[in-house]
Amino acid sequence: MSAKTETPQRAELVAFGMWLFLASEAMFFTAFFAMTIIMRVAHPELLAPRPLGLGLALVNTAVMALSVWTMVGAVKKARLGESAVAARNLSWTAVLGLLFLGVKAAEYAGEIHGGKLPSTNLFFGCYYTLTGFEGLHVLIGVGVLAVLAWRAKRGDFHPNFHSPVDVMGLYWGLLALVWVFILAIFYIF
Amino acid sequence: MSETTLSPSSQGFFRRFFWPSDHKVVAYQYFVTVALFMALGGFLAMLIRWQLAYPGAPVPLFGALMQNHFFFDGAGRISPQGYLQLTTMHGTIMIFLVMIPLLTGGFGNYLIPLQVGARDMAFPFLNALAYWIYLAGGLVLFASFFLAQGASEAGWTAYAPLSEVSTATPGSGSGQVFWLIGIFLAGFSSSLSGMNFLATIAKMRAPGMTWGRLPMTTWSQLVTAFFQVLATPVLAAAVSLMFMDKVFGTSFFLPTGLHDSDDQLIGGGGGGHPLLWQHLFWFYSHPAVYILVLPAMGIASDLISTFARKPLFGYKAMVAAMTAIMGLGFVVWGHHMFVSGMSPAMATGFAMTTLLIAVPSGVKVFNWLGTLWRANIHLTLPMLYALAFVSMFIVGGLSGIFMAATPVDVYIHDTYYVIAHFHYVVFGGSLFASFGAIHYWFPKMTGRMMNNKLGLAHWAISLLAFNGTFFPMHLLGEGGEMRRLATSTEYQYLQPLQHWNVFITHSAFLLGAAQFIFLINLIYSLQKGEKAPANPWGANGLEWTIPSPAPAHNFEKIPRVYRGPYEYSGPEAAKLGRDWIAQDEEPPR
Amino acid sequence: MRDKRRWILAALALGFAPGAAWAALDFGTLAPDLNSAYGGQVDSLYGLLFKLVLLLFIGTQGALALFVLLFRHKKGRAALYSHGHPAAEWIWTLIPVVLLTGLYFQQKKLWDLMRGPAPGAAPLTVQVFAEQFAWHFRYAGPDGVFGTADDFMTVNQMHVRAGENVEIHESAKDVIHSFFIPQARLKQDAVPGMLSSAWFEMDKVACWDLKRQTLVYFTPEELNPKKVALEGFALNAQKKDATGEKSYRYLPFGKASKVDMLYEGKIVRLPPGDADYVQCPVEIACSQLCGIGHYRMIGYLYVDTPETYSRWWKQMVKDKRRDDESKWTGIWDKDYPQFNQP
Ligand code: HEA
Ligand code: HEA
Ligand code: CUA
Ligand SMILES: [Cu+2]
Repeated sequence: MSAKTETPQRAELVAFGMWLFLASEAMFFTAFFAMTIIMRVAHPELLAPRPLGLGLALVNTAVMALSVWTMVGAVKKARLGESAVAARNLSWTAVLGLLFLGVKAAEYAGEIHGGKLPSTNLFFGCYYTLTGFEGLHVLIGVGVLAVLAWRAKRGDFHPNFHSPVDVMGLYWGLLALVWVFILAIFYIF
Repeated sequence: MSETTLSPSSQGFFRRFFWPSDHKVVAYQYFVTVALFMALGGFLAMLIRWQLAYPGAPVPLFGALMQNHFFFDGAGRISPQGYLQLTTMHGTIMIFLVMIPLLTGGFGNYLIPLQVGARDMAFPFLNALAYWIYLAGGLVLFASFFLAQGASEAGWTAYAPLSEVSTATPGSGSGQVFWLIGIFLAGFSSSLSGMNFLATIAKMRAPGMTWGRLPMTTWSQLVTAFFQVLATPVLAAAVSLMFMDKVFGTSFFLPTGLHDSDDQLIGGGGGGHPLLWQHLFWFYSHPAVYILVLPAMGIASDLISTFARKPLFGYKAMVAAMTAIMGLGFVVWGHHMFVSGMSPAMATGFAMTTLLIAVPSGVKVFNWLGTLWRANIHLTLPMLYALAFVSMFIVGGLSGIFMAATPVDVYIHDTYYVIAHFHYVVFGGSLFASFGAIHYWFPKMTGRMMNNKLGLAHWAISLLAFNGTFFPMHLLGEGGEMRRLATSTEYQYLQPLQHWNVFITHSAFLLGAAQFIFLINLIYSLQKGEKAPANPWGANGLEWTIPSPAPAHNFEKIPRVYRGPYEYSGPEAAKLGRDWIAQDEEPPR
Repeated sequence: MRDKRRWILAALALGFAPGAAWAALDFGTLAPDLNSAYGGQVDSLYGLLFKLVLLLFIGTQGALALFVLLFRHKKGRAALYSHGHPAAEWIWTLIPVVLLTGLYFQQKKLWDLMRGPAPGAAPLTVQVFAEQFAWHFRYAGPDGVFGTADDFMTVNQMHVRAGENVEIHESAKDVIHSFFIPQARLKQDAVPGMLSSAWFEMDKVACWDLKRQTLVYFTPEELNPKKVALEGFALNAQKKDATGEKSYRYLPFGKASKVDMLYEGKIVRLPPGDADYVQCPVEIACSQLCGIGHYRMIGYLYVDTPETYSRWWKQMVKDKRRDDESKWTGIWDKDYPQFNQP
């Protein structure tokens, strides 16, 4: 198998591109958070009894934290060229991503069962929109992680070629950050 | 730098044309698609004009042809609903599917790597992807014409609740959902292109191509790309929220106590606010209008300096002005909302920023004039278009000042004055600059020159007919004629202005017809045009140092750059006995 | 080829000349101004802008044309090798800054007046409720309080007294509409779920000149010696041609031998044939896209003299006019009681 290599410049370029993508994603989510803040200011009554239970959210926070840890591991190992370990780390990240989605789905199911739909009120409108788009991003991330894991297993990544894993790490970091904000704005404050 | 070079022959036909890795081929894809949408958008405009001049009269030919489909009522007439679909889709197509993709996807893709001295874009894969996403968005919008209830008819601004409540108007059913999906895709594509452009310009400049040596076209694409990366996602978020409202029953933009036409309360949680949509929409769409004009400004700068045979006047000021326009461009969106019910104090702030944005725009205009001062002007076709751009942009920009003054805008808001203003900047401005660009870079793209006689005819007739079409719209606006009226003849006070509508329509038909001259010129010159040398204009940019048409992967050897792109008529050039010296020529001794 | 250049230049000028000519024509085509409170100021701000812009227009376009003529390519001409002129650039940056800052304060003063509280005596408040595709108006009635039984309501018909401040409180039932009276220099969106307000004052009565068959405007004083019919005439529109151009005429209708007429500050009954003028309304336009009927969402505003206004008011109170009452009691009062607070 012909090992693909890249120059440090190319790796830097790819990372730069990813940062631009993240900036753009940040603006996308910022618009939703702004919407949420406006909702909270305009309708404090919607938060009077806290509408969401914290339990599953904390579970998901733990899952997210764990997945960030495995992702960081993947990035490190890919850089060192320990492809097999990287592959394992990537797979774990994907699994944790799926777990995150599963927990979220369970939470959704509970809420929908309790009659809490996007159309119920603006709080739930914001909640479903933000978590929904976060979920969509995680889902896409899981797909990419699976491909990367497969490529890592094939031995694609080595000290001279690892930018796909690097940028995946950046992307995953953004998702974790967005989750922290979601946690703060919907569950805690 | 060891880059893997692919020879074009190693790619099959499919790869080359459907998933091209060559930025130039991606640009061609955009050009062709844009031309088709342009023809469609223009055709819709012709129908609009027919209806406004001859309300209730059957449309010749097409009325009979389309029977009661699309915008027609079966008797060949345009129905009021059909009229709203026409304006909505005309505006949407022209902005999202024609001008933005033409200026960025088309010219940006074609020129950036050539001008910075790179073999391709930073991310060719992303580039090809961006095109297909754009096309998908365009097709979704196009498909909405065929829906049972027709395409969206809430205006290109899609103000809620009209656009959201499906019983408010037929087009706000599935037509609006298609509109949202189409806009989301077009916007996403535009963001992806922006990232690519930024990365390419920031990281892939040839050795010696310092920031101070970039051609203005590339500078303008860089500034534009910031808008595309940072403002477009907000549009994506806004249409997502509207999508949630329409499909999942949320009520971000729907207030409590909203009723439908039968006085029935509209369900959902309520609590939202219609003005939120306007804020989100204009937060993107005002910057979008600068996406439309900045690349045109860059192009005009390149053309004017080249054909004035004189260095661009105030290079640094030109860059600073574009940056200032970008910065201010993010904080003027409220000038579209002066009468919306937004607080008057906020309106005052937006008026201030809006007035100030005239300063950097003025700097650009004065520097172009400065470039022409004591120049040696060759009135080639591209130059004529560039001059028309400057002239028409001034007219459009100056009418913007009237609208920036809040008390005056109260009167002219949502009248034909606004329509006049922005057609001057987008057609008179951006489109004329684009025509200039096509005539200028056509030899590089095809290896042939465009025909001069046909070009002159197109330029002269277009300029004339353009002014005939859009200047009288100022008069209509001052007389108080509202936009988006299926006919203005219902109003008694607008009756005396109706003859202007007839005049405008005749001019518009002439303007439309003139575009066929351009089309003929394109086709003719592609096949029979004079063979073009590598550098037909005696221009300095890197793109002129390689053969025409530009080969795949552009540069055999990555060039080394010694000077800026505007060193016309200088001492170095004189040593070579010419009035130009390419950016990568070794300094003559 | 060289000779052709001349032709090109002619075409160039041709492109710009119509613009310039029209620009000159442009001025003074605003709809007539009947708003005595600030309409004149809007028009003079417009005029000021126009003069400034015309100057810039002539200056820049003139320079463009001139430079192209003066510095066009000739054998032996060499362009000046110059990269700019910092002093000049500072000048043309700073002068616009000063101009525009001045403009800002100029327009802010007027804006604060227009969108601030109406000055002087307590204005007449009229509630406006817009729907697809009609304007609903509500007056507080004799008790001056909204939401009571003596309110009266009209559809598409609004009356105000010349010389009196009027404040509109508007909202919409279904989608956004925009209340636009060109002759009052007034435009304000009516947004569902939200109350917007604006004020204006009209000082001239719109009348139809029966002899010349055109619209004219008079102050109540100017109307004194004139005979103005208040009823018995109807607006007749005739379609002229395929362009949809119509011509309007006021024609007598009915067989009444005498009709109400305003003459020397009193309402008297005179034969229809005596009338010189007919009182007529100015149109209230909807200027925000609101659906299929947007183009025909027209209301009518009557500017009255004190006499005709009180005649109308008494009639409304006597008739207990409550047109389309359910929009008010069923929607406005029920869903937005806060809109009735003073
Ligand atoms: C290419 C697109 C483009 C560009 C460049 C501009 C440029 C400007 N626009 Fe325009 N605008 C639109 C596209 C554009 N606009 C569109 C599409 C709409 C309508 C959207 C809709 O509702 O559908 C719109 C609407 C619009 C409005 C809202 C009107 C309304 O709905 O009521 C306003 C209000 O302030 C405005 C202002 C301006 C100003 C101040 C500029 C300035 O940037 C112009 C600056 C340029 C000059 C002033 C000329 C050159 C300068 C000099 C010669 C120097 C000296 C000048 C002075 C000292 C005054 N525009
Ligand atoms: C870039 C933008 C752009 C362009 C170029 C145009 C071009 C034209 N527009 Fe524009 N217009 C808008 C953007 C644009 N418009 C927008 C945003 C709105 C607001 C919509 C809304 O209110 O929501 C609007 C609204 C609008 C209205 C107001 C409708 C209303 O409010 O009721 C009118 C009315 O006359 C009008 C007329 C025209 C005309 C006659 C042209 C002509 O210049 C068109 C001439 C062009 C052609 C006829 C095409 C010919 C092409 C070929 C023959 C094929 C060859 C081409 C190639 C190979 C490239 N337009
Ligand atoms: Cu109501 Cu337009
Ligand atoms: Cu704007």
